[in-house]
Amino acid sequence: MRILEVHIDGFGIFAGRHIRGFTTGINLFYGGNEFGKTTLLSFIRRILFGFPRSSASTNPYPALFGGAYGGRLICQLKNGENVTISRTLGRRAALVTISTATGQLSGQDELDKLLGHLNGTFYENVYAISLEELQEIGSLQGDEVRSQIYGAGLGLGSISLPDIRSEFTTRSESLYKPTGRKQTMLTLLQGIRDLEKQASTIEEGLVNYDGLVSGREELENKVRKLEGQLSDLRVLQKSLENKKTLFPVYLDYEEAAAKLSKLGKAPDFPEDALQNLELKKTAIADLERLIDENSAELNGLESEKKRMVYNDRILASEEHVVALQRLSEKYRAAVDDIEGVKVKRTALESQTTKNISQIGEMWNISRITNFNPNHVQKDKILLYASSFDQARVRLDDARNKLDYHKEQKAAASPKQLPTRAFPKYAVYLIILLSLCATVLGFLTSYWWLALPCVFTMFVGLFVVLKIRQSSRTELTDPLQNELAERLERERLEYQRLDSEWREFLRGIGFDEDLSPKGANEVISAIQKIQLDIATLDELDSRIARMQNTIDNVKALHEQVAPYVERSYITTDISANIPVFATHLDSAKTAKLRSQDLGERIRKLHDRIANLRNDKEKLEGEILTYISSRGASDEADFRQKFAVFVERRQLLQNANACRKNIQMVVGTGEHFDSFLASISSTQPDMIPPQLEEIQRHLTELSNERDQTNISIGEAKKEIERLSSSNDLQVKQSEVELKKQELRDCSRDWVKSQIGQLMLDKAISKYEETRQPDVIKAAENFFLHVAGTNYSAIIKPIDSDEFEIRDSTGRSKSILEMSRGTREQLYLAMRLGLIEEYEKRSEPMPVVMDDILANFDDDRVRLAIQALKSFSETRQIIVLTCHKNNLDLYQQAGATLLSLE
Amino acid sequence: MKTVRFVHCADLHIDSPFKRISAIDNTMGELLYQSTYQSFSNIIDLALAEQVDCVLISGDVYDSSNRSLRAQLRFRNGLARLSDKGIPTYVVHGNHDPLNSWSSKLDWPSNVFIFPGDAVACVPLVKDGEIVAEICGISFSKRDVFDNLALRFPKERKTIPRIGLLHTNVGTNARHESYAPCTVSDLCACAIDYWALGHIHAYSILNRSNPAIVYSGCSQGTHPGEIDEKGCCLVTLSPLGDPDIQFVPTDTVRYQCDSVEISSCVTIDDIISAIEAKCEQVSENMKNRHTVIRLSLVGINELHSELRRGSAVADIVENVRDYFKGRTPTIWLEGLTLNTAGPYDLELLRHGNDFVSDIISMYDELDDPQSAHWKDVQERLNVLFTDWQGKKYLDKLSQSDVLALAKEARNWTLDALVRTS
Repeated sequence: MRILEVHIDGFGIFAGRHIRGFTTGINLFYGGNEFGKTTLLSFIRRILFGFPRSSASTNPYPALFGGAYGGRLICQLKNGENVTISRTLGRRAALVTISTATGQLSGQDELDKLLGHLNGTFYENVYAISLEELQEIGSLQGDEVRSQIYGAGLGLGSISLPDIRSEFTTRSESLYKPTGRKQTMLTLLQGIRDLEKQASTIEEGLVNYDGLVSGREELENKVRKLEGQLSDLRVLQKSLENKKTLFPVYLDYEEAAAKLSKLGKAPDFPEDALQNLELKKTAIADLERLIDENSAELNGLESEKKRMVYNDRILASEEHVVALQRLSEKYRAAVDDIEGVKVKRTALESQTTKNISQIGEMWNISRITNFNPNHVQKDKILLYASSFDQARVRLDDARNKLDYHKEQKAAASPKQLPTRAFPKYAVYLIILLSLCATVLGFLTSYWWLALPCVFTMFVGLFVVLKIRQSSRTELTDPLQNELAERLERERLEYQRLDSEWREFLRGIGFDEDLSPKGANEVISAIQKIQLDIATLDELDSRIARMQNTIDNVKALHEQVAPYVERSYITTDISANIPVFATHLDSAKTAKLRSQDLGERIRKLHDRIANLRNDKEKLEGEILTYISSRGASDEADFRQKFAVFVERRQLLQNANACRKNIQMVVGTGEHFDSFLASISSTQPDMIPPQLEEIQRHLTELSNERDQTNISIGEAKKEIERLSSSNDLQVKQSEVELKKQELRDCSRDWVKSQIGQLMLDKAISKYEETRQPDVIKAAENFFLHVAGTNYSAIIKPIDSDEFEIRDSTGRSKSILEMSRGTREQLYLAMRLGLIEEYEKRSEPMPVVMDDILANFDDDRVRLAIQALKSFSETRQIIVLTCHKNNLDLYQQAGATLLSLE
Repeated sequence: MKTVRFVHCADLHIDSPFKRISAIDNTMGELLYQSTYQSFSNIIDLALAEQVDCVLISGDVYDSSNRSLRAQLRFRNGLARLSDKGIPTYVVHGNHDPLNSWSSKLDWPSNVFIFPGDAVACVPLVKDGEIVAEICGISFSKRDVFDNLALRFPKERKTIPRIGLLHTNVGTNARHESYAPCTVSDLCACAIDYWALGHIHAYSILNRSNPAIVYSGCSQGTHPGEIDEKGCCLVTLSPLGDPDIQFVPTDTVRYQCDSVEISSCVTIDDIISAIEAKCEQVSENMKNRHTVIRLSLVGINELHSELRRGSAVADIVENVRDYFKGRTPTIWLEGLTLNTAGPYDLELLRHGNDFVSDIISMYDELDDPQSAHWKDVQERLNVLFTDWQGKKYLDKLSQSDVLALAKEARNWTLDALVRTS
């Protein structure tokens, strides 16, 4: 790569500056101090490898005169391709972009690829140097530099032998170092020793096993012995505690026995002997009290009975009084109603008579009562009514037809006077009226009316006959004749029916002139009268009954009234009846009370007699009971019983004491021996003895418990030793660490051998072969330094350089002059660059007044050498020395300036 | 002469800690703790099932002279099971449990005979009221017995077979400490028909007959170096013919060392799968036993450098252990060593003309013990193996051990040099 143009947007003192015209060969910038040479050098470095992090030792070259921080380099690669490398300061980090003809890339990684992965430090130390770096020996001691010096010459490329050696050394020393203290193997050794100690401790514990077993057995024997002693002491303690507890009981027992022997023998009494006696006596007293009470009650009853009187006669008339009570209401009603009923009957009777006379003269109560039309008669009346209706219809029909025919005929023939019909009907009307008047005259005996009417009626009949004769003469028409005949037949039929009807009416005793409807009405009137007659009969009967009741009550009243004080009697029978009843009830109550008193008196007599019998019986029993126990009387009986009770109590006490003692000490010989023992015991001595025993017991118990704890611990330890694989585990841990140690030792051996053999090979190489870097540097150095020196020596494992003079003597760096040393360093860098670029992208070399300390001859020689070196490379030289400017220009350098 | 049938076992190492294991989890640890007792229990079961006439134990019942109490109780309980069935047990003690080591005062079952350490004792073996054999033996009175105890056994023949119990290193096996050393000739010179030997943990028959000289081996392997099946011998001595000797495995946990070829593996996952497959295969061959497996990765692989980096191998081991966690029978990947190489041609490098060829040549020169390089290596290693306070815990490295380690160191170096070149 070579630089074609430099564009500085903002960097240090530069802002918006551009440098163009870079060529292959030496490119020269000339300027005084503060010109910005070092700034330009840093710009190129940083555009290619990045802006360094700010630190106290780093100049950040801030854009002092504005412009965006950064800039770009336009470069040409080895293959002829142009690229633009731009670097600016982003928000957080610098941004680098690479623009090529085919596109744009970004990031340092991409740029590194372009630069052939050239290390920035290497570039700074070798390619872009100022006088400061040139003078600094450390700048040639970096790993990369060392690698470059030896790798190529060794045929190992960029391999770093010191690295390999260092790897062996590091590995070896991490495992073991004679003077070290923290190496792995030493740690492992310590671990092994610790574990072995622990295992040893476990082993020592195992040896104790037998001792533990025998110790445990001894302790168990000791415990058994202690248990025996404790058991004996507890027996003694118990015995003393028993004596202490039972001593009062023992005293009671002895006392009871002594009293019993004094009392001697006494007859036996039942438990409740005295109680029985008292009970019997109490029973006798109770009986006496009852007798007294009953006698008093008897006397009272007898007195009361004597005072009791009642009305015997009214009691004898109880039946009448009861009858009066029963009839009392009925009697009162009869007295109240009888007159009214009678009035009502009289009125009905006169109405009935009137109704009968309206039916007919021949009708009276007897006939009406006996009249009883049956169903056949009623049905016949209905039949006749129907027959009359039909006959009337047919007759009217025949007449109408005849009349119609005549009218038709008359209409068909010359008109005839219609007066012919009119006179006929008028005649009929007159006849009828005459008939009615006649009847009315006969009924009312107005003869003056009846006779003219009879006459008029006959005249009418005559006229009718005349008319009818004239009509017949007119019957020359057959239809008319037929209709006339029919009319005649119907009229005859009607007359027959009427005769038959009249016959029927006569048969049942009715007026012949009654129509069927009139007949029915008469029947209905008769039936109503029959009902009234029945009502009259009922009223008669009722009046009779009421009268009978009144008569009966009066008779009964007469019979009872004498038996009641007159002062209570009034004229009102109804009022007297309750008085009779009251008297009767009083008499009955008094009689019942008297009877009850008599019964109770009898029973009391019986009861008192029984009570006296019971009392006598009990008194006999008491005497027998007392004598049965050998007592002469009750006092003797009581005295003997008291002795019996005392003896019995003493026996109970003695037995209770014995039981209490036996419950504690046992029966039989234990009891006997206890009695014998306690009889000789001083109770005051027991507490101190117990205290002594308790103290001894506590001591022994504690000793036993402690021993048991020891046994438990021994057992636990024995069990642990028996079942534990601690030793095996611990030994295994030791073995694991041993194996680890062995493995480490093998690794250490390998590292040591590797290191040793590498050293040997390097030594051999140094002695027999020198790398191309040194050879190239040597050419430059010898060209500049002249014939005073013959070779440069670079020990393979050292950062130091040596030069060998013409006599073969080696001279170390410290022995060189400053100028010679800088010439050597420059030579080494040029050698490195030559070696590096054999297989990598060439890079522009930037030199900032590095010849300052060279003498004039060596400056000239150095510029000549640089000219030769730059034939295929680009070198950018920055100088402030006019002399050097001239020499560079004489060597064909291109002078450039900042735009 | 009647047939005599017995179980011969040795080196029970009851309650032995597991050894030479760099890492273990609780499950496998517990199985290992129980393994020696369980294998002893299996021997008792075998004796009871086969109704043998006696059981012979040829030393090293316990693992350490300070035998654990639990081990003693477990041993006594096992013998009590035999005694209850009328099977006598004959025991000699070896260098791990000499008579002078601590022993609890336990009451041993009635027909257990423990041979003394001062002289060879011979006791009759009675079967059905008849003496059918004579058992002779001698215990180690102390750990460091370097006398040839075989010489003390009787030389006079008897009409009944005679069985000798001895804890010894026959032929001075270099891999075992040379306690009570003797030779096959020494043993053959004695009037013994069957030598029931202990001390060597691998089952081996040194002489098939006249006399039969047999190491039953230990009953249970106790470290990854003991990879074969372990057990006891079921022996029948008959009047006619050679002794019938059957080896019966009794171990419950078995160790196995193997390698996994990873040349064809492309990813780390491929390697893990290959390791898991190998573990499965090993476990299947163990006939339902728990297995402790130590593997080495071999082959040339691009991943070699990645495997060497940081904790890659440890991570793989953890991954495989997680995979087999909870499996029954248990599979435990105890260790994984890296014996792979990067994809470079060693011969080509060796014949180069650069630094790499220089260093390979130097490593090659180490094969010569007279070379300056070898001496320098020895001198460098003495700092640890001679001068260091913890040297007693380290394995003494033989020349071949050192050369093997040097080879690994060379490979490390080449990995670093060739990796980035």
